[in-house]
Amino acid sequence: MKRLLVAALLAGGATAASAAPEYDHATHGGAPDKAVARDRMWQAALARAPLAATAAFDRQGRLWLARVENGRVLVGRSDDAGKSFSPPVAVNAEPERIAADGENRPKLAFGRNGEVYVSWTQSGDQPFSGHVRFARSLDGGRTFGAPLTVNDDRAPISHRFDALLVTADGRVHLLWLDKRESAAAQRRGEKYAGISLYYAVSTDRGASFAANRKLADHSCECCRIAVAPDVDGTPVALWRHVFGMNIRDHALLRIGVDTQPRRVTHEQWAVDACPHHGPALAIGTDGVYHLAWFSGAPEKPGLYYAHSVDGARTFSVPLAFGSNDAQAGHPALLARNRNLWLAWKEFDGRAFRLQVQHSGDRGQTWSVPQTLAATNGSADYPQLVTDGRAVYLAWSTANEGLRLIALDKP
Amino acid sequence: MRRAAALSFVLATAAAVAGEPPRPFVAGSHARILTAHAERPLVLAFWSLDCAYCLEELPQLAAWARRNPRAAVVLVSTDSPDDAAAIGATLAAHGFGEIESWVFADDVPERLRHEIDPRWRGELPHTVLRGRDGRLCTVTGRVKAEQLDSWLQSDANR
Repeated sequence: MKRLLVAALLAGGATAASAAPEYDHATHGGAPDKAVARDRMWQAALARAPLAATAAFDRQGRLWLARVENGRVLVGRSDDAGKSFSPPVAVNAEPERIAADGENRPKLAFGRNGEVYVSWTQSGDQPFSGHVRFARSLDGGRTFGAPLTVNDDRAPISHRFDALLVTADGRVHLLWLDKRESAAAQRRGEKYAGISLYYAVSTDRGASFAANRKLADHSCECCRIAVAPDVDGTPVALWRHVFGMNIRDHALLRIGVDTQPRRVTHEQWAVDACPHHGPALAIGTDGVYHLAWFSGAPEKPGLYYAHSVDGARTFSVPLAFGSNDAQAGHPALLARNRNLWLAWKEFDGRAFRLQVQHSGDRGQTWSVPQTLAATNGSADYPQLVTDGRAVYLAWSTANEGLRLIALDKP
Repeated sequence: MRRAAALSFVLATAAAVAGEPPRPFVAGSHARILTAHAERPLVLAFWSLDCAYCLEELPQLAAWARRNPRAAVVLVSTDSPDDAAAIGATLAAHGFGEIESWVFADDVPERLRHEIDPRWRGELPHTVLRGRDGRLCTVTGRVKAEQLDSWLQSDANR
């Protein structure tokens, strides 16, 4: 069924945590206690070796990996499908505090002419604050230009949970969750449910971005955004939204086409909470939209899958998958012609299992779930990636490093 | 912005607050906490520095705890022991004086969550109410004082 291709990479070429440089916090001002406390948190954050990494194949079928270490995004390339990696290149020369957790990790995307694009969230000193950062390489990942801050509101509030997409026309799309509307409402003494979905596009290979645009009011605050290109190149976004006062189901928007987000899930999960559990979206070459998501609605909690053959106007009846008693969560989806793969992770009290289901008929029927890997230590979310020929599961775990698992051709 | 200002203050005083550091919450801690407070109604509140709704809930929970000394209120942060200073300072700044406070201390938080509730994916706030009759109920999301009042006055806590 599968081949284990690779284990080691997290050790390759990177500097050790003990080599953490010193940072000058005097410039941030404030009392000595404040500086001491912040410095301690900052150093603690740097010292953690985050598992969260992003694997992606470029247009030539080479595997790339982005991860975070000592305040830098490190990008490495493998020309042998993950057996070995080039020494990682630091994307940002100046270290900064970079979000690297399940929902919020550096992103990688590739242009038509070998451009390597990287985005990430820079965490600020204020809790929940951050900036969306972006850098590009025009020399095949050997060097990166100085990072840009893409959000044009620079208040110390949330501009986080970036999502990055390059469409076939070469445009670079960035989406993120942005608190500026909520903060403005607070200043006026008004209530504002959730925060907002924001967007910026680059038409010059990432040299610059057009003015920020609000795509939607009332997104949930801290769930990853899913984005995928439709067959005509339209970027399509799927995110957890706040409907009414606090119903945290999902909304979808075709950027540049729809004027309003449309509601696409209906579990009616009413909760004032941070789920930290964003959805997955894949769009097949046939234009079928495939969605996977988590709902904690008390009557029917769990993971769900649904598809739409009419551009998200109507959807199939949501199909529950995964074991609720094993925290089934954090789904990934990949569509290729008629084939569709769905992956997620479970934890049975002792070990994590990487679960996969396959559909050969665009999501109408599914194989039984198969366990493709397990681990006893901590585990990142699973990712599904393809080099255009084979489909792989990428899974970063503390004990095993990054594993790339080839899925059988159906 | 009010919250941000309050939190700057929290960070400013983090190093100065001499409160007891949170205890490490490890495998088995959940059962031990339930046993340790078997005689009293218990509110076991899971929260995080990363959870805005938790920070909104904390002052209300602190006020409720002061009004209801017959209930035990125990707080468990799902952050990491590295965050101990910020946890102590945040609780102090949100109205908790002497409070039993714990912090997740396991590289695999799923392991701890599995013991608490195998279905819990980690959404916060997450509150476990254990009545004097031993029955458990769980509230996901911000818990309201009225919910706690009616639970405390219910048959579960006679």
